Amino acid sequence: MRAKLPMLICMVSGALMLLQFFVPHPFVQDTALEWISNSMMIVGVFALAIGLASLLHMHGNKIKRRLPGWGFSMITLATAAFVATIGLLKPAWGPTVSHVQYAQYEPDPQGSMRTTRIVRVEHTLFGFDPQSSMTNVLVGAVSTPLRANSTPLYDWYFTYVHVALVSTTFCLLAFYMLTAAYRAMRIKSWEAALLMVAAVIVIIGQVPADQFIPLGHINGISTFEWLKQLIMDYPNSAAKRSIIIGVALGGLATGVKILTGIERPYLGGGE
Amino acid sequence: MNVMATIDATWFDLDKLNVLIALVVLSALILYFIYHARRGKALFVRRIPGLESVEEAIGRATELGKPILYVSGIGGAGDVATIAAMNILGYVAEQVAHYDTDLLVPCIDPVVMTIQQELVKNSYTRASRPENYKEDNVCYLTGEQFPYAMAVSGIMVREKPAANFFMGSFAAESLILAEAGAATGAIQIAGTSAEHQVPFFIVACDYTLIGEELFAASAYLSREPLLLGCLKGQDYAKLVIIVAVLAGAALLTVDACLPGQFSQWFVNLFANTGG
Repeated sequence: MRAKLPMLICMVSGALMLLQFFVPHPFVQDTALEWISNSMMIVGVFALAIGLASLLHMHGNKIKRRLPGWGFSMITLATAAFVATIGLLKPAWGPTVSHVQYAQYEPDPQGSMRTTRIVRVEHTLFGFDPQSSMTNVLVGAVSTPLRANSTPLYDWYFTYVHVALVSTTFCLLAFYMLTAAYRAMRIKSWEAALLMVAAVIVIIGQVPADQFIPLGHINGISTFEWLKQLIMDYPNSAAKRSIIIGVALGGLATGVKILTGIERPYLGGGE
Repeated sequence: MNVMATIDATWFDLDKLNVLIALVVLSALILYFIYHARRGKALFVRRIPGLESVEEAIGRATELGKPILYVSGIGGAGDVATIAAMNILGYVAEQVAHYDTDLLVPCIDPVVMTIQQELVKNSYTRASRPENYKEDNVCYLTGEQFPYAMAVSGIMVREKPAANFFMGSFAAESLILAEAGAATGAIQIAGTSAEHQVPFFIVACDYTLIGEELFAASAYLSREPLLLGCLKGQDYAKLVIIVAVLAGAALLTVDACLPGQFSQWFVNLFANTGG
């Protein structure tokens, strides 16, 4: 029973998801699908609680035993607690942005909106503005009181800390690509030489190289750009599509194995 | 004039009939070969270097006395690539249990974490080493993509694992993980279903499982007849698709050379006119 019940749940849920793709009837699309979505959300929330408990346990253990890197664990837990607090309490006040520039509109007699003035709002960075409904603005270099809302603390944190850090991490990719390409571009065999030639053509084809390497034009575009497009449209697309077909078949086979109970990774593997 | 609109509540979307037929045919092929494999006939599977090197990587980590890092991607428990990654994790965990090496499995999804905790624990039990299982080694880090990449990179820099496994569904963070691992000198084996990330893994990792090789891993490593039969069914399904592609290409070529529309009926067989 311990193994049979999860398998039954898996089979029924899988069959329902398969059914909803082919059956447009409102009972399947609305009722059944909504039931499945709600169930998934409920399971996800409980699993999130387990995940958070795991996080607390792991970092708490590290701090308690003063293991190497316990300082990072302190920062992790403190940040998590801070964000959870401001997210749950959602205080109305918060740090205001350094400046905001926006256009103010009003309708003209014909009913269309027209710009009346460009407003530049000046605030102190990291300064709290208790009177969040009123702030000073510069209009024509004259400071004028204007009704504006300060950014709540949680939104400020998300925009100026979280998004900034994620963008920074994403930008690291540019440097990692450079180091990876430098390591990869070693001509040890004819396949590597072919790869190098194709890479050079595509790289040069991406930039306006015809200004520096005049090799004429083909079909109205520069030669390198034409060659790049040829490589991207034919061998590259063919290889990519073959991988996609293989992955789709692998996914189909895995789905069949899961639905028929041949593979049961959700039961902890094994028999 | 009032016109009453009626909703046509049909029980089957006829526009998706071709999808259903393809699903039934391909699934039937796979199921047939699974049944056929029960007869015990040995099936040949070609050598996959990435999977052959799993034991080598585990052995290397054991000799160096360093842990093994297993990253199962950023997909959820419903992602097929994550399920394939879990199958490989089960095998790796059983091998690691024999050698008493630490296995670190940081997770981005709490549902995946709970499944993988159970999976690794059972693998240690099957290897008769339940006392070596450490629950904190299979942990939840964060739910976001780039914070997860940074957290795993931090684990790589601090713990300095000798072997890194990147198996599952990856997006832009694949290169961050692979390059951070390469900088620590670890042997790296990767496998993903995301075709856009395969080039990054090929460049930065020692071995890469491309596309369906990831899904063949469970059959390849366990050599179970049922799973090998499924693999054979997959290959025959691929043969059906290859024949269809060649037939379509031939008909389109004939269309281009001769007057008349010979290929339109064939194209319509595979067209997806539904929503």
